[in-house]
Amino acid sequence: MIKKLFKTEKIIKLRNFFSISPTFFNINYLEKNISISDGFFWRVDDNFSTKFKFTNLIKFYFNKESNVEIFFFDNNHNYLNQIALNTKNYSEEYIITKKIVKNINFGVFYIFHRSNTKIDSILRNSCYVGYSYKNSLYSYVHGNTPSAKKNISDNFSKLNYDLLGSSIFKKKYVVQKKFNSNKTEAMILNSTPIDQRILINDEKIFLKKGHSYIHQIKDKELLEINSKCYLLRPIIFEYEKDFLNVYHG
Amino acid sequence: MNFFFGFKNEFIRSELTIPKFNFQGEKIDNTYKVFSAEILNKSWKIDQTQINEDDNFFKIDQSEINNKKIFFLSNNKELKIDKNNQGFLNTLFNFNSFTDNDLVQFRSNLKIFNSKGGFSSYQSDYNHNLCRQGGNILSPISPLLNKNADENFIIFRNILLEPDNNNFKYYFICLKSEKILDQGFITTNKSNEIKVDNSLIKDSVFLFTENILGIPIFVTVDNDHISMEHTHPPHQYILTKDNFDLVKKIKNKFKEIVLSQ
Repeated sequence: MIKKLFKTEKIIKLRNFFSISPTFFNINYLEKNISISDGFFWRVDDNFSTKFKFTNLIKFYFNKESNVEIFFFDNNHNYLNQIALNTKNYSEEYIITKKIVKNINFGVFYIFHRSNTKIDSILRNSCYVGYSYKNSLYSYVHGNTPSAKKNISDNFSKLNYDLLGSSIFKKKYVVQKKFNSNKTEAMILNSTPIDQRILINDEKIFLKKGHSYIHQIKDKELLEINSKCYLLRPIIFEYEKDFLNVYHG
Repeated sequence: MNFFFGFKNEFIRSELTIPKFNFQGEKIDNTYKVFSAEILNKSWKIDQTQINEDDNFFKIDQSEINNKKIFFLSNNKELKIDKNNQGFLNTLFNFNSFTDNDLVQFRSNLKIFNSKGGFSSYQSDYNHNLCRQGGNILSPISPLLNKNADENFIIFRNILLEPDNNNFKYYFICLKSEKILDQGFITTNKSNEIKVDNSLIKDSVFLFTENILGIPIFVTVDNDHISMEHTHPPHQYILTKDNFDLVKKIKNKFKEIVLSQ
């Protein structure tokens, strides 16, 4: 009983907040029938298009029919749109058009699996986003941070986009990569339950809950992110002439 | 402890950049150097590697990289190389323990590139715990490959503790039709190149290996642009304790398909 109480979401958030046996993510692993999504970046700004490729996890693991729902937000966590896909295949792809994101430049999307049958598990969709620059080959990267959750039979709600743990203590994340390209960008998302003051190299930003940001890496070979988030891991866009390389930091 | 590796073929070369700090920015002990291990006369031959280094990184140039050599950080105390073994070991072991308890793996940046300027990279490692015999890798192939691209292939990297070069089978299996569409061999302790015919790139086709673990890394080349990324192991998509049972059930299905043909 006490063990179970220690694993409830509210207590987990407190444990993370005060860094007492932190779990880093605000996830109650005893829950059932939950679909968790990483926070995936989309961008359709100058010369970019974004494609999402995902596995139908309920069909693959449980051999049950299901749909997926994808929810699009702008960089300020304003809801833009949603799509429902009746997925009969094991894997599917979806190209994010300017129309679906209402001509906004960039933001975040989340994918949830939906089914009326029970699965007694927690699914995490951490699939693959491809970014094409100037109509060239899509450069793919997998998701890297569980960010939002929904019961597989529930309707859309704007809640529960806060699965990354936050602490009262300072946390540092340094990308283990040397930056020496002509142009490099780092996209970050605040998927913690609270607003964050963040120092990215020399740039101070204030990022509200659910908001995302693109930082330009200039004249620095390191990328150091100071905040109160446990693992504020960026997606990196690295350019050399017209060639693009995207990866998670 | 992690090993690092590269890849090389007729058109693509690679380089590795290994940080001197962990994800929290804490510097590693300055006694650590980069060593390589390569099989020679059925033993691991350990050498200190030619590298360029600065305050924050070790860089291993393409000229040092082939499909067999692996790299790791260690120092004289932990390496246990002496006059008796003259740089030869019968087995790999945990050569450094400084990041064993880190939440985020200690990773290098593996960058592949061609002569036209195309390049792609990812934060790469091969954990010491994965260096064991047996097991199966199961991965969908369509999410990270492109059936309209000039070329698609998979770099399948295996590292064993033992200095063996044995061959094991891989299969491309269609789960819908329950048929093997293509098959071949992969070698232990090697960055294997598995060419993927574009006609195989369908949602129901999976890569399945028999008795060999490793990291499948998916590479697409089109108009000199390159995309490279690895897939997650299937148990990572289930966060509850039933994950390994669910994956075992699915892998058994693939084993049955292999046995039936």
